[in-house]
Parts: sequence; structure tokens; C-alpha cells
Amino acid sequence: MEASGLRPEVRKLAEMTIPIGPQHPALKEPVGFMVNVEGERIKSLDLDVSYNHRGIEKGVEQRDFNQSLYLIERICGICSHAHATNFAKGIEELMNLEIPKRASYIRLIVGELERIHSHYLWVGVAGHEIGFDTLFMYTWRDRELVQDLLEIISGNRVNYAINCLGGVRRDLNEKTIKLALDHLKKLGERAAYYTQLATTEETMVDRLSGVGKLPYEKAKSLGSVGPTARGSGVDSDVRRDDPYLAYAEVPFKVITANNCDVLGRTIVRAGELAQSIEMTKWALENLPPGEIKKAPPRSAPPGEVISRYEAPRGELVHYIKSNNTDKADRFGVRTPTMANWPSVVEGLTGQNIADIPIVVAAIDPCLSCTSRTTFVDIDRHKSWVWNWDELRNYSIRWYKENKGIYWGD
Amino acid sequence: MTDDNPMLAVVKQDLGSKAVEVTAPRRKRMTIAATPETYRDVIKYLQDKMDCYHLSVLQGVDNRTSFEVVYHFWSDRNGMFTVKVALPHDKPAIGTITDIVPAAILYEREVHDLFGIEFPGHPDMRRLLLNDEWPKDEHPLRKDWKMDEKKFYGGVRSSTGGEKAG
Repeated sequence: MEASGLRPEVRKLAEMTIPIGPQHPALKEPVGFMVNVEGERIKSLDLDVSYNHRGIEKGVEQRDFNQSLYLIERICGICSHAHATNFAKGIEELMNLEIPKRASYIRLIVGELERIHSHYLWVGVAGHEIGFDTLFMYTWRDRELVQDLLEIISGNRVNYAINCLGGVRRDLNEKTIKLALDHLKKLGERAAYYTQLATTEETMVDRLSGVGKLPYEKAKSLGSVGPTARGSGVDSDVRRDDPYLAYAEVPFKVITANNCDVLGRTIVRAGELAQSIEMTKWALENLPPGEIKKAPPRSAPPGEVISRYEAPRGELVHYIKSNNTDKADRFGVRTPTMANWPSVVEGLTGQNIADIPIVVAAIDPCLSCTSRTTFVDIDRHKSWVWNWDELRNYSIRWYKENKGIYWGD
Repeated sequence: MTDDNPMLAVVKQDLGSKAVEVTAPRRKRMTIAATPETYRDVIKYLQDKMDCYHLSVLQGVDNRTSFEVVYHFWSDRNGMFTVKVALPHDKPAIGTITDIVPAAILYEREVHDLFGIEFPGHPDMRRLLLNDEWPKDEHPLRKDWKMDEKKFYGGVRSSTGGEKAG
């Protein structure tokens, strides 16, 4: 039955806006969904991304560049280095300050290690959402190697704070480089295994292909970025198209897939893991000698800069306007997750309720627990609320009963 | 100068009087100042002739005496194009571009929410980032915005005395 044929009060139920979920201060980005379903199929989807708006853009206007750098690092817990580096290189461009070569290599190394840890994390979360918990255990074990490396290099497991204006805070010594190369060899073997898994493991291919369809044209017009766009065949990568740091010198390939679904996004991320590992190795082996930082001036001349960075989730954009003081006049951020929300709506429309967890997880949003989701069943005239775990269990059960896809005993 | 943007002369000539000013700070970066009358033509030109398929973001800027809406378009071949449109400080409004650039749907809501710039024609203009209890007509990224201690900005209401921001 179409919604238009219903009694007005029932139709109103379908359009009801319900405040969803408590705040989760521990998570970066709790998102509320309003899903209209007809039986099993999703008719439309609305989302609310307003939880945890922290006013960092305003905060930056009131702090000097050095203070801002560490505030901006805290925009995201997973891609903190992406934000800090993007801001630092933007300000340095405004100041006309060229950082030492060794510093830009160290920034690149930390950036690629961050991508490796983020993609391992994603493969695990995706495995968990479809009930393949063995994969989750495997990848998160491997991820510890990267986390250990980041801790040895920067002193921190998250929010590495390796950047300072004009360069980096810490140098790499021979011992660290040797250990890193050792770890990367192991990680490379694992990445090859996951690539094989994503492309040939039958149950996984069955579960992921055709889910969350995002055609090439839609991916382009909706402004998708990163692995979400590349999984739909859009051949774009800031590292290659608009090189920054030392990316113009490091050899690498941009991975794309033409599947236009969650499987495509998985293949892209698995392929990028291998690429990032090779890039980090290359950068460590060809690390130029010399200084690691330069003293920056206190203020930046009037001007504006648009700074782009390929974060693990896609193109990250900072717009910085300076006014000859030590503070930014305007600091605007567009995170990759923001750019990818319209593609989630597109990918879920017409799909099953059971596909919500994996389609949402497929853009790798910075959230592991999407507060709660309200369901309105137009046919049965009722609505109910599920939390993320209940939804995940439902999804695993549905695929077990209807498609025979199950990883348990 | 090897860092010049080779497209500068071409864009200048093609846009003619539609652009108030065209500058290129470096390769792969160009800034085009347009007016509320011409910005749609400029954006269409960038889409058709410069392969700008991707709207990176559109943002608001408060210049104290005027507002600016800044559109950032990316083309793999020609780099980043920034289109700036100046708007009056009193009742700033500019027509939506969601009909020609669907990706703008969330960004226009964000700018509307934080700067109070209207986008007539937008299909779904609701708050995006601020909470529902935030006072109407207050837009925190405006330079003259100050928090009013007496008002309630969301969060937990204080049980003693006046209302407190959460």
C-alpha cells in the first residue's frame, strides 16, 4: 500500500520526527536516522547529524595558530593527523613557509600509517556488521602492530600531535626505521590475504555485492569522496591529482573498482592497504637527511587558502582566511563523512532494513554506534525503536534465514 | 614563474564581464569573484567547460560589513575553482544551486544554520548542526554573535534560578 492511501493520522505517523538517542560523548559523530519502510523495503531515509556539534570552527577564530593546531587535531579521533596536517600545510602556504623535506616525509609516513590503521579498523567493523566476527578479531589484532608503531614514532596511540607549524616535533632514528620496516613486512602479508578474502571468499562476496548500490553518475553528482567514490569507479585521489607533502615523489597506484556497491568499497580499501604499506616502506627507505622543522613567523599575511588532504575516508577540505594576525579570521572544515551522507541515503533507498548496518558502515563514518533508529512500518501501522545491536542482530538473522549467509555454527 | 595557473587567461576571456575579478594564487587554484546575478552562469560554465564535476564544499564568510558565500569546485584537469559571491550584511540571501549541483544540499543547510544566509528554492531547509532549542535568529559564526546569558541554548536546564547553557 502506498503511503498516500492511508488515513491521515497514520500518514502523520510515517512523517513523525522523533528525538533519537542520547548523546554519546565517547563517539565522534552520533547520527539519528528516520527510516520509512514498507514491509522490508526502505522507502525513504532522513538523517540528523546535529549531535555533538562542538563549535570548533568558532573556537579556532579565538585561538592563535599554535593553539588551533592541537584543537583541530581533536576534530576526529581516527584521522586526527589528517586534520592537523591539512591545517598546518594551509597555514604554511599562507605564511609562504616551505618545510624541510625530511619533515614532509615524516608527515607522509605518519599519514599513511594512519590510513593503514583506519582501513584495518574498517575491515574489522564491516566484518562485525555482517556477522563475520573472525575477520574482526584478525584485523584488529593486526592493527595493533600499526598502533604500536605510531606510539613509538609519535609518543601517542591516538592524536599523535607529530605536527608543529614549520615541520614535525619528533625525528625518526635508525632503530625505529628498522622496526617499522619489520612490522610493515608482516602487515603486507596480512593485507594480501584480506585482498584475496574480499575478492574470492564466496560468502562475503554474496553478502556484499549488490548491496548499497551507488551508480557512477550518482557518486559524481552527489559529491562522494574517497573509497566510497572510488568503489563506484570515480578515479580521483587528492594525493595524485593535487599532490601535497612528498606525494609527488612516492610511487603509488590509485585503486578503483567498478562494482558500485559495498563489495567495491571493500575491494578499494583492501587494495589501498597494500598501497599504503608499500608507500610507507618506500618513504622510510628514502627518507632524506636534514632538519625537521623551521621557525614559523608569528602571524600570517592577509589571504586565503583552500587546503586539501586525502584522509582515510576521502577528500578533507579546510578553508582558511588570515588577516595579518596570529589568528584565523575564518576556518571552515568539510569532513569526508559529511560529503558521503547523501550517498548513504541514495544507497539505502529501496534496500532491505537488513542492509542498513553495512551500508552505513561502508562509508566508514566516524561512529560505531548510530544512536538508535526508528522504524515505521506503513503496512502494519506501527513504529518501533531499535538500538544498533538489535538492528545488527536482526540483519544477521535475516540473511541467515533468507539467504543462508551465516558465519556462526 | 612555473607556478602560474595556465588557465587564468582562458577563464578571464571566457567569463568577460560575468566575473568581477579573476585571480590565481598558484597552479591548480583560481578564485573568481561573481555577483548574485552571474554566479549561476559562472558555475554552469565551470561545469560545462572546465570539467568541474565535484563540489568540494560551499562555505560562508562574515566580512563584518558584508557576507560572502564561497563555492569550491574541483576539476581533475584544471584544479580548484573558488567562486565568491558577496552579499549584503542585512538580510543576506542567494538562490540555491541544488538544482544544478545536488551535492550542495547539506552544505547550504549548514551555511544557513551557522550564518543565517537564506537559500531561496532549497527543497529542505531545516537546521543541520545546531540543536532544536537554539534560539531562532542567532547564528554563531557571525562575528557580532555573542552568547546571551539569559537565553537557553540547549543542553541541561539549570534547576536553580535562571536557565544555563549546557
